[in-house]
Amino acid sequence: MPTTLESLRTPRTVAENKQAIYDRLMSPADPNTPAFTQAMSWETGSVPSALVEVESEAETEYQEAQKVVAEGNLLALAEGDALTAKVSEQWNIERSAGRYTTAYATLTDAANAGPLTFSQGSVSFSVGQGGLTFDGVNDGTTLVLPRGGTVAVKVRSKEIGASYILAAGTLTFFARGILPGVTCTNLTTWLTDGTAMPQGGTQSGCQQGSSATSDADLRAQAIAQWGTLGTGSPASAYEAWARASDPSITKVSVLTNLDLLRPGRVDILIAGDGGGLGAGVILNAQNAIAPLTFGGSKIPETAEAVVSSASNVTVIVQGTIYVRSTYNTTAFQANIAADLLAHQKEIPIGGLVSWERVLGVVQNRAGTGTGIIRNIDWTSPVVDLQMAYNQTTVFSLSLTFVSV
Amino acid sequence: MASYPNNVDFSTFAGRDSAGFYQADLDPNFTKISGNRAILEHVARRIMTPLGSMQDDEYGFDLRSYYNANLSRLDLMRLKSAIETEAGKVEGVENADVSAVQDSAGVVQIEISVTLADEETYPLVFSLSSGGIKLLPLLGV
Repeated sequence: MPTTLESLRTPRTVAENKQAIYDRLMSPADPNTPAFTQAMSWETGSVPSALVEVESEAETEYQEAQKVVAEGNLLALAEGDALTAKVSEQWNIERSAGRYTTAYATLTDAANAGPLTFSQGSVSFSVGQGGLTFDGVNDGTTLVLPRGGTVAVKVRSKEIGASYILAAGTLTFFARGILPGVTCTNLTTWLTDGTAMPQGGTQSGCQQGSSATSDADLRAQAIAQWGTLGTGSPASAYEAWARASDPSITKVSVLTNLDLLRPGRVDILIAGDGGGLGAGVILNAQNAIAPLTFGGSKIPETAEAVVSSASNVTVIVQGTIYVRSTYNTTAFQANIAADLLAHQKEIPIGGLVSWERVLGVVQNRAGTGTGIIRNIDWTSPVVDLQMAYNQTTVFSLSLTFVSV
Repeated sequence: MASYPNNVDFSTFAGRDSAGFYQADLDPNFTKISGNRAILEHVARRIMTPLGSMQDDEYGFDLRSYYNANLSRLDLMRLKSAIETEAGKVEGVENADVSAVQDSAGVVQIEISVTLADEETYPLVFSLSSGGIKLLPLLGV
């Protein structure tokens, strides 16, 4: 059988390889080779049978390795470590490992139980019980929560990922180190450096989390990189520079002619997995493309490049989902939330939010049967939403799960 | 009747250690075995092969999983029953009678009396301890 790329990409199973070996033993191609016509009847556990099994397993392992090597050479097919190595060697692009979210939670002595002295590293907070968790940064800081007062606690997400980009007012649960009578929350300024803290001083070291670069994003970066070789900076060049400037940038839209009085202006709109991005990220991208907005080392002297963040459009995803009781677990609900986040990530700046697709994503985990999700009373969205050229979608989940 | 190429299999209990116990390994000389010897070696292999390591889902019982086990009388009865069941799957075995005893040092002595189709009975004796599993010589085969 001739070797083709397709054949290299389709390793045979152990059973298939075993059958092929038996076929060769029973009907050898060379007529001078004796045929073992009873090969398939050999006793399991006998040495000849065991040797055939060992050989078939070895062939399958070899074919699976061939698949990795063959696909690893092609940008469209390489995955995981192979893709990381390929884009690093050929395009000088490194896969981002993602970042933790570092921010400040605010504690309030609601019960006037203070003053309370505690170590910053002794507390943790989460989004509801068992939800995304942030740990107090264990840097030796001792905090004092005054009676009836507030204090800012520096916290770090438990894991890397864009899912730790929270809306204000959602980090309200004490996961560890409960202080009686004290409430916690995250303010709108929880991620902003320079914000004054109740205990004095200002917030510093804030960092918005990002997920590790996915295979799809890595391929997009590599393809866009070709534009950087062209003269006059095509759109893909701006996209490549923006993506390379900050790992939290996962969506880029390059537009021209937005301002008819400034024909040489290029607008680069950026967004991340969690929606619009902050001033720090915008500055990183701007500095990477054209620090002075006009000209520079990358764009023509007569060109203007302005980076801005896409603005968020909150799409409320709401409905009551009737789930068979044995499946209605925290993990199942978290999977649906993760699926919706993944769908949100795929909607480009200025893209279309299809309400049918959103409803389909909610049902994705239930498969085609009726045994998991029995019914859905769907509330929102019920019409398709077209984002404007400078808008990016952020889902606000309001799903109620009812066991049936 | 079990099928082998040219009616012979190859031994996997050909070598012995200094104490006379069999070493379980493929004979590098590919010594041929057949008949009752082959059946008894197959019984021994079945109870030293973890379930799922062969492509037959029902092949195997791993005696080594009982290393250093503190076995109660019920555990020993279950062990006995499991070995008898596994030995009975070998073609040519009419009956397998198992005796399993654990001494105060934790060593489990397993004696399998295998009755073959020729109505002859052969002993397989295993010693299971922290030092591993040992098979006494297959006498009279």
